[in-house]
Amino acid sequence: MNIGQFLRLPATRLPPSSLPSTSAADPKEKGRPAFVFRFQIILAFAAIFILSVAIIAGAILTVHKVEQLLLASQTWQSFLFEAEQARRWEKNFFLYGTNLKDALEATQKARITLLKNLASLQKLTDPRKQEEILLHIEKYNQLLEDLFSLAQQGRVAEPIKDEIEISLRRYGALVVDDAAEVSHRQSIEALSWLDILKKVPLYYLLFHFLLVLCLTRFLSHRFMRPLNELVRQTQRIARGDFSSVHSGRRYRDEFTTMEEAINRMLRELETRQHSLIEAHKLRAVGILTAGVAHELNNPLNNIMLTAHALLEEAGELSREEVVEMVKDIVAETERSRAIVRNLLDFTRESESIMEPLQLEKLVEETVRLARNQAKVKRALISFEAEPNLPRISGDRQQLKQALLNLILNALDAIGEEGRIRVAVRRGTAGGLAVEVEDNGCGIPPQAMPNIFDPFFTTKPVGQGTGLGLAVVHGIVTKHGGRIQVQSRPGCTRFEIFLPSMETPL
Amino acid sequence: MSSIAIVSAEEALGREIGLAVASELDYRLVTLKELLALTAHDQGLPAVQLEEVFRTGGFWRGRLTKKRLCGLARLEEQLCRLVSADRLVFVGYVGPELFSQISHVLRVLILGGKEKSREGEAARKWFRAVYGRDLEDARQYDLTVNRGTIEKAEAVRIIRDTLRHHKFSPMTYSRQCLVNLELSSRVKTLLVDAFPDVSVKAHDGSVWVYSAALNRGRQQTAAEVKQKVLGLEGVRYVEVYGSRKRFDEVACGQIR
Amino acid sequence: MHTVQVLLLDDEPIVGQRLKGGLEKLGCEVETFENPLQAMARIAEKRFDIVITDIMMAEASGLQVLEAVRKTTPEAKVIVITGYATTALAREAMEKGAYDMIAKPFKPSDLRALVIRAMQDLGIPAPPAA
Repeated sequence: MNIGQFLRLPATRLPPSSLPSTSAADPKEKGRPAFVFRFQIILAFAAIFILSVAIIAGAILTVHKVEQLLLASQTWQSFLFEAEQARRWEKNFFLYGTNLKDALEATQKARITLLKNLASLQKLTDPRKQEEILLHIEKYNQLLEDLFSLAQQGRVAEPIKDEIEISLRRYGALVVDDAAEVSHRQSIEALSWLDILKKVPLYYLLFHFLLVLCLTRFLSHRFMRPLNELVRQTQRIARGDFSSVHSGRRYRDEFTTMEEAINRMLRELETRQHSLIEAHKLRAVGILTAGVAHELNNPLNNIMLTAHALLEEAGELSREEVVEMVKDIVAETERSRAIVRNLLDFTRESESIMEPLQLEKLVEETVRLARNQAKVKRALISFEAEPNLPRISGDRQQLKQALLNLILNALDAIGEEGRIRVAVRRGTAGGLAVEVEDNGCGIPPQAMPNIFDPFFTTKPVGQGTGLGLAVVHGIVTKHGGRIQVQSRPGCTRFEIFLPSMETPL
Repeated sequence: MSSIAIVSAEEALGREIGLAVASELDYRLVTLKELLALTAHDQGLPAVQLEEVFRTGGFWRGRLTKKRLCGLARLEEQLCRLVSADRLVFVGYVGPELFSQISHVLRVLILGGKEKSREGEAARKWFRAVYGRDLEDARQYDLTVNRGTIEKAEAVRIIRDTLRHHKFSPMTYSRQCLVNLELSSRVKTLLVDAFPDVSVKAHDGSVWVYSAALNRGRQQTAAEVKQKVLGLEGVRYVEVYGSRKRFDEVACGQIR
Repeated sequence: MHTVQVLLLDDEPIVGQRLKGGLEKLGCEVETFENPLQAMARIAEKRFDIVITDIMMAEASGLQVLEAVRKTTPEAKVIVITGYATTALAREAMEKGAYDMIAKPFKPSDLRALVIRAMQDLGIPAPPAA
């Protein structure tokens, strides 16, 4: 098995066809050693396999051992049989003076049996015992031979015979007892091994079950944790927070690859979000046109009337009156320019710059931008702000757009006698809160969970893109803030909480 | 006085109602065919070229070909002039945006009974291709009369009574709108031969001309266009833009 | 002879300042207002022949003023001036009984012509100066 296949070096990870943006992946991600899940799974199953092999090998060895023991025990049994036979003949000899030759033959047979299997017995029997038995059987044999040669010579003196008999009996008994004991012990040993052999599979089954259980738990834990983490992250992303995903895990694995893919997607999303914000801004401007037309037409009308008055009454006016009128024209021109500048400031496509901002000023400017639109709808917009508010760090244009979207939404929601209240106040934990409250129709409760989703709209087809609140949410989240909404018919309140520069939220 | 635009995919239905309404109110009746003839006569164009405008099919990239755009521009200009003369009943389906801007034109949609003629289908198809919306989308009209359920005499009565509403009376503002439209249609006719994609806005003698063929690289052409438009009666001031986007950029650039 | 009573209402003070003189030359008696509520209060106590009103004002809509005039003096001519003219607004104003509507920006002569026409419709001969 090629370990390198799994423990790949970070440098070789990226396929050659990957986009340039891919290689811009976070160096932090790349620095970690790889420990992929495939390898983890293979490791776990290899462990189980090795364990099984060990158990089976053990079983085979045990069977082999039992076999050996049984064989040895059998050898001892046949030895014992010959020895006992010899002893019977020996007894006959002493009783009736017969069978001495048979005894000798049996002893020889026993001896040969023992000597033939000496090597195989050696391993299984206590060597001292075996040595002893061998020695005793030799002695026994010697004594029998001595007896035999004496008997052949025909001079078996009773005292010698008795002496030999005692020795023979002693050694004979020793040999038979020892051999019986050894044989017995070996068969007992074989039985105990068999007992083990019987129990081990059962234990192994239990152990295997526990092992698989543990492994499953361990692996699923290892899978589920990053998976849950990813689910959490995607939910965060779905809420519009497009900051990149980082796991705190020590090793690279398949989830790291996935995180990289998600991060790539996020970068793409952020670009899209940016263009979405830009596009939506232009839409807002389109909506504002009515208000702007009115706002701009007023100073233009003033200029037109004043200029014509100057033309018509040139001869009759005093110098002071002329100067007054020209001053009016200048002032009204300035006013027109300010209106256009305010609108274009908002429309202008620009890089996102985070700068210290007086939030209440920004909100007031936005309210001014929408005020004429409100006049078109015959609605009243009020603005209030707490004094001495701390500054925030933010993108002027984007925040304006978020607020404008909220106000335009409110304008869409209200009917006759429409009132919109915009307020800036201190929020919780040192942050700032902007409230946009209207007395319109309210948001239907079933729509509430979706209002910040892209392309969700309650307006008739063709009237809303369903992106307004999604854009607002995206902008607010980008500023590290959050947005809340409460709604019932007659009162809908959006609250944006933003961290101030004094205290982070 | 007000005017009435009667729109119907079925030519016969529209003409029938138009004729009755015109005689009842003593208004001038102009049908699409008559508009064609009038335009051909006034502009010295062959009638065949104008008829070609209404041919279904033969759209290039979903748009009318240059020749047909020219024809359409002339028809719309003629129509503007006719509406300016007041007390008009027009039966036809050109220039819907023309009428939507003038509050003293009552826009009536006549729906046929069940059967749809082949000509009617062709008209619907043409309208969709040229104006990008449904001919029989009632939202574009002030009044929709279903001839399947309303008798002719009753339809005429309804139209007459609706027209009596004060809201359809002309006023300085709506007349001014008509003047602006008439001027922009004249400018468009002037330029459409050279710039088929031209769009024109006019307000009180000021004219804004947009065409992709007039972008920054062609200042010479733009100056010529300006000169040409200034030669028209009623034009006091002309602005020429390559496109609307260009306009935005120019405006933003100046502020920066 | 009855002098034509004109009320001129616009929240832009310059409108009143510039138009007042011209209308007075036509022989009208002109009262200018910047606040629609004050103007409506005045309408309630005095009869005006011609009322000129803006539409979009903070305190009240010109359409409310129009309705108030129609209620007290239905024969009075109401001229609507607006910075945001649309077909819908034009029709609404006309339906509510406006005499005419003119879009901002306009020339003083445009309005004067309207006032003269209104005076003629009221049966008052046009002044020789016009």
